[in-house]
Amino acid sequence: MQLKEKPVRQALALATCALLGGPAAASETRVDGSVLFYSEEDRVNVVEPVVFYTTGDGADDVTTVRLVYDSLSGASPNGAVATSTTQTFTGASGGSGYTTPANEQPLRDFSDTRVAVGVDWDRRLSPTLRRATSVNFSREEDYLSLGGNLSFARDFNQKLTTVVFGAGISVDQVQPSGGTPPELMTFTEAATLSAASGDARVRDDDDDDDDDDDDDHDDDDDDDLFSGESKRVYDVLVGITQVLSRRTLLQLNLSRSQSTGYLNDPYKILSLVDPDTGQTLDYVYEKRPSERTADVVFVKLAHHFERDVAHLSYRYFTDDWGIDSQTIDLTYRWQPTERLYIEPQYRWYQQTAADFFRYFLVQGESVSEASADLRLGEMTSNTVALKVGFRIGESELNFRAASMQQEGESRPAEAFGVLRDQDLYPTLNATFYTVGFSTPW
Amino acid sequence: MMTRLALVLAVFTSGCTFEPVRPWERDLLAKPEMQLVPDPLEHYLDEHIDFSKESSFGGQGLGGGGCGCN
Amino acid sequence: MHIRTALLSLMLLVAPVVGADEAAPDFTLPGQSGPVTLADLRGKVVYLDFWASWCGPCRQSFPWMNEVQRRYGDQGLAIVAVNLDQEPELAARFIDHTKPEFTIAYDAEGAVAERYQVQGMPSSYVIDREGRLHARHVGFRDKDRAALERTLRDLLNDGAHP
Repeated sequence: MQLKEKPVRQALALATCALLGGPAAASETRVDGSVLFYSEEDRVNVVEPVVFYTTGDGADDVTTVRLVYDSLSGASPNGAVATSTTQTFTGASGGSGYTTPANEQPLRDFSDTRVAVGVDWDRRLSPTLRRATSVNFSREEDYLSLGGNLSFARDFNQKLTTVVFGAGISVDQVQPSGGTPPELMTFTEAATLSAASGDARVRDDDDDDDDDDDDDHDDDDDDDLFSGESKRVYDVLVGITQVLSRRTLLQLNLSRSQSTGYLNDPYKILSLVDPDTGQTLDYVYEKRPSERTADVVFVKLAHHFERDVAHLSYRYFTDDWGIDSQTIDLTYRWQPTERLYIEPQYRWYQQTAADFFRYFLVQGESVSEASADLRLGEMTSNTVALKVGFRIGESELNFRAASMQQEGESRPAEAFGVLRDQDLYPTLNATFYTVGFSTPW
Repeated sequence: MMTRLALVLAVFTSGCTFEPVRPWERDLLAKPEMQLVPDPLEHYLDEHIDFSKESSFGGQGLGGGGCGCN
Repeated sequence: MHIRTALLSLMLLVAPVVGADEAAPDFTLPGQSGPVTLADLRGKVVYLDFWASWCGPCRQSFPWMNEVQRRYGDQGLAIVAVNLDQEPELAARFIDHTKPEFTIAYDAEGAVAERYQVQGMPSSYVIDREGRLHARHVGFRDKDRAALERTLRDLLNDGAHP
């Protein structure tokens, strides 16, 4: 199961002023921790503790170590569509498979754990120049990621204007359990191929995350950490922050990222349906382009009212896969007393479908790329969250509860035959909670 | 979309701030809740969730602002 | 609000440019026990510090200023720390916490900070016994302590030989 790690760039402002704002803090070492409990209705569950350890002099020389542990389990859509009959996804070499009842979206069970470590070094090079360097490493059962980034922030106008320039690189290694599936090959073709060659290299879709299944795999590559598929992501960012008034700050970022290599989800398939009835005849392994260029425009406004603070941001994303998206995020921190804050948040997200997104494939049609991963489809997501924080001395304890709903086109125009009766984009409902703290160490 | 971008750029290229803010008037901007990423942990977790459930990523990166401290 | 900033900006044009070896602009500001006037400190070496409770480096500078005041007080050193907090309770809490043994003055409007052309927080100005501006320093870091102390010692020693 791929749960991709995207290196999060730490705000350089953290290095200078985030430790202020309360009674004088003598130590410059802090520990921030949080645990995320994420749960999708009948689907994925995640427990994710995160710890940030910050040390240094609090201003010119700050080092942060990040540790993340991620435990995922549950069921995830495999890309096949629900149909009027029961569907069975058998395993390779007669191993265990799974069955999906009629009129239900096929889900594949999985479990995975991920560990991620990162370090940030923020240094002040001169009164108006700061540099931030980061390295990130993440490992899960079938995925390895190593990345780094470097950025510079230059102040102008008595630090009222700051210009940021950054670049990053990430190298990922995917080692799908069961091997890399052949792109756009049907299960039937794959079975024929493996029967002919006697090679279990070609994987049928099944639950194969158990160690017991390893004997079924003749693929020696499974044991080699550095085999499998690789992917590289490069990105650059240019940003400007401007103090508009004593109470207002504005940020504008422009960034571009370039991904190359294996960009498929090896566990996703598409249903191949009959051109007249829409009945599922076979399944096809997905294929995505091997390149992806994306551009992002991000704008944020932070405003301090008499006592409360509001953050409003807008992000526009566009890539050469045909995906365009917009994100609006509004957070309002209400500060009824000095030690307590209540922070509601609303996030709206909308994306268009990727050019190669298909709910299903029709037998006879020929495509160069196709994926039925609903995350690539046209969709709108709404998230509402409420966070409560208590300040105790120089420490803070916080709780956050959020509800996310993701909706897409359940009855697309292209559905025909038996597919007309199916919900091709079941609404995803997720709730998540975090319990967090921040304390000097 | 382009008009929105143009408007934002106009604000920046105007060169001056709406009100000149003196170094000692940076008190509010110095507060943790006025940083561009007020809670890096929350930001990390949210980005992770969004990245896993959606097709877009990135944008926020690094920033300035804050106090006039040296 | 805008008129005030416009007037202050005008004042800045008219006021003498604060450079080295110029007369340090005189001022009278409210203090903890009565007004604080710079001219009254003529004959002493004055370390004038502009600070605020929300400024991290300021927190480091107070213990150092206490140390220096104790060490050189009877040689004629006078430290005047001008507070620029917009909210007085925050300054009060900071003072409770750091227990300064030197003079505190309040400049919430920032008029004196403006005349001294304060560029960053904290900003410190060393004024010699003749009331001339000898040096200015922006920021406060561990490594600045030695150099600042040396500057003060030199000026104090000059005065010792009339």
